[in-house]
Amino acid sequence: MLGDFKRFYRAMRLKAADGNMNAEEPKVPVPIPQTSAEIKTALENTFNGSFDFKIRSFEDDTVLMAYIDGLVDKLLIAETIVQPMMQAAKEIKIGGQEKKKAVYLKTKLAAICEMTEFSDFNECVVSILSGSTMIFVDGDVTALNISQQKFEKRAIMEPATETVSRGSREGFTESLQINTTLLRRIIKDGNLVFEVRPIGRITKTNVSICYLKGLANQEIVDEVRKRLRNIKTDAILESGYLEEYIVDSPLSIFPMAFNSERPESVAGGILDGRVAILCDGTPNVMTVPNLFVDYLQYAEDYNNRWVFSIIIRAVRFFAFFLSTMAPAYYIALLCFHQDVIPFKLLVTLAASRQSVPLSPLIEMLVLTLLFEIIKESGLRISRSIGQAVSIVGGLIVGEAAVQAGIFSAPAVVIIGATSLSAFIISKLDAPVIIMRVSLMIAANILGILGIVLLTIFFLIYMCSLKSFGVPYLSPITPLCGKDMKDTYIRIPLWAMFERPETVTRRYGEKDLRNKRND
Amino acid sequence: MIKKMICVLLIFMTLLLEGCWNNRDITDLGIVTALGIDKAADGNIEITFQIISPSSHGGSQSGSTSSQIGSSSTIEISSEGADIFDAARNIIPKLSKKAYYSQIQLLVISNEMAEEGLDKMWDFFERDHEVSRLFRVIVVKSGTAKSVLEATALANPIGAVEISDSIDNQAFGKSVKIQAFKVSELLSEPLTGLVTGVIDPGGSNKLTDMKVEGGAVFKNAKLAGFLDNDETRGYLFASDQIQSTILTIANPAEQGNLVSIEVAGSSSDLTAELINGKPKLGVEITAYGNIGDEQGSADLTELDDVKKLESESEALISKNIRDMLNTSQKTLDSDILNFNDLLYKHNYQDFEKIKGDWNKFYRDADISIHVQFTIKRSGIITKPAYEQSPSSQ
Repeated sequence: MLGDFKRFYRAMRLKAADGNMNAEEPKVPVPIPQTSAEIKTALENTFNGSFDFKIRSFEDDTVLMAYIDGLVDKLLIAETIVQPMMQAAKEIKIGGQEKKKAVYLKTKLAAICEMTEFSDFNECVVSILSGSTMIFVDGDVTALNISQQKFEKRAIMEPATETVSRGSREGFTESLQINTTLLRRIIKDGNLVFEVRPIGRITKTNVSICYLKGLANQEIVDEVRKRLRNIKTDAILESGYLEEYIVDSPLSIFPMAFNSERPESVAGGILDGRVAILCDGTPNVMTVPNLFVDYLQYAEDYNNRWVFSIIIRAVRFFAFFLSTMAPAYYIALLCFHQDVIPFKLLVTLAASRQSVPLSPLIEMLVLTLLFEIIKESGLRISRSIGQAVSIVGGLIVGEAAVQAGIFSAPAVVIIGATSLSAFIISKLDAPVIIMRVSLMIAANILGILGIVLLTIFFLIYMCSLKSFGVPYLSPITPLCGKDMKDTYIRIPLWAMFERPETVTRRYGEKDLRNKRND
Repeated sequence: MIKKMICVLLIFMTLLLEGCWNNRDITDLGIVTALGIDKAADGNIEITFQIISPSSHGGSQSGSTSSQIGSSSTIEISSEGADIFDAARNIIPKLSKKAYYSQIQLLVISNEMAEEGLDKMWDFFERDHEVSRLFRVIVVKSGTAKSVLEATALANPIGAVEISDSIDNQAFGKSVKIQAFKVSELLSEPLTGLVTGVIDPGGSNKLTDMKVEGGAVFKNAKLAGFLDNDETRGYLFASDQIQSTILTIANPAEQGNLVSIEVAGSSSDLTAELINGKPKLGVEITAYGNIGDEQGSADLTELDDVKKLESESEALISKNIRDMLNTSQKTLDSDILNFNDLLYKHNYQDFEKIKGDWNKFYRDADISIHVQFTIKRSGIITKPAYEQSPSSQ
């Protein structure tokens, strides 16, 4: 039965990686029609009469300018293209055949920064859809591509999900251009390379990878490029879509690619040797390879004093354990190991459980479910009535339920503390919930022994995860002594003499070395 | 492949077979806080359980934010049996919950039972896997353990906690705290005497009237006698168990007035030698303390007065110890300070010769006592700011 499942899973993965599935149409270049009338009909057929597609003709269709209203900078076009074009088009019309070329226009439209020539009609269409203006000349099979986009985008604001007390408050926006700019402003190094490619047959989303050449492990960069190239799908709407296609362990409950809305965090990752993946249309930038300890470290740690950072990191580690294990320990101690509980606490707990009809496990499960409902509804609710949710949630669960005798007060306290500490490591919300619930069930079956067994299982699972070849639990295991200066604690910056090497070192060599010693 | 599958399946099945074994709901447990052992007719034992009965707290009004321990009360149930385990099971007809011994705080033994022998009832506490080894052991001076456990508790709703707190608070200096693991240890040494705490019901049924003071001395696991308060204090000094106590001595500067010295710390050194086959034992105490209370208005920080106070304190401690030793040697005939152990360690070969008659040798042994007491402070004043009018005594 397990073998059947494994075979099925392997077949699915092969099919997904298969190049023939969802094969894209072969990119045969389509030449640009020669006469203006043909160009016009071809364009109108492609755009199916959308009202925002505009064609401006100069001198009776000698020169055609095609663009999509709303994506282009109309003021700039008026000044730099239309104005000189009035003169230039006349010259083309009057002049001979040698002037009926798009290259001639290049010399005339000198006020434009970038002009390229296209000879493939499909490329022209894609360009127009991206916001460029295409200039077609009657009688020429090449066209000029002028990209002067301007469209409404969200201003650079503080990211909503990651607030800091000290640090830059700029967040990524939905425009790839702005995101690359933000990163460039932080890392002023020529070795910072941005490579872009469109992914998604219909959305043709621009996805860019960014890395520091020479610092990032070249094998990882090549692997990222290869995996992005193999994505065959209709649409990429968010970097989360990319994440599912390219990560190493697609079934893992742990997030396998770190994403952040803050340029500071992503720049930190790039400087460690990671590869950043920016996706147009989303402010969330992914970073690979990903380590588990990344979720317990924030960029803010380096902005604050080092002693405070050590304390806060300890709090975060403790919060992780609290949010996964506190309900399980409550169940285990209360149901199995009552002799461990101090006497006075035991009396209080016994008194509190007298009237509760549910067993501790069911109580905890229902409370966890209720808190998740409160959290999720608080997320989705519109801001105007958002206040009501917190009040109602607090009232229902906190006061009324305990007084009605449905839950016991210690259980509500523990679940409240658990949920609250889960917010500290909010990116790990999925694995934390899964671990919490499964540990609760294990605690109910075997007590503390159950918790220990399941924790060992989870540790083995985490050790087996790899992110682009880098083990998920590095630098804890395999132990990288040099990187310990920044894992549990953060030593002062002036004492960090070497770059962290977990992400950039080559694991293949080390594995080979171990095998030889066996 | 099939074999691997079967192995995995078997492992999972074994986990399921255990199921939720040992999973107990806390409301099904009767948490025993104290156990009382009395003698019943026909050579049976009567056991009294003090079990916590948490009051149903859930559907109460909003005014009940008071601590929940305040609303717990206890139930006292007795049952008879041939031995402790039997009597413990015989409680099932009377009590719906299963007795749970892991949080037991106190064991109360009536003096009649204690005279029969502690070793007769101790096996249950050593054998059961769940019984806590930290409970305190006290003996009832006159009366039944049942009356002690059924007494009304006023300071703390749980009577066992009230008595335990009284025992634990060793600042009195005249009561003995001994825990079960120590009792087990000492029971296995036949030559040493055991001293447990004592509670005196005084015929009352209110716990605040019952005093926890004094010591009960066991010889060969049978109750031999009691030590009164001062003798108990001497025992605590000599066995290095004293935490604090108050010595009331005469005021050296003013006749007829008293001074109270608080003992802040003490250390005791026991020596034992065999000279010509006779044991020569010694107790050496080094203690220090502060002046706590003074009748009169003398300035007690004068050097002469301090020296006099110190020697008076030394005399008082010495007297307590001497009284205790007299009782243990002559009256009770029980080596409660464990001198035999010292001889065993230091003088093994000679001790082996006299081991058989140790009690006789101990009775006639010559024990020297040397106390050194230092007064460190006199509180925050040296002498009262006012003149005390002479007392009318």
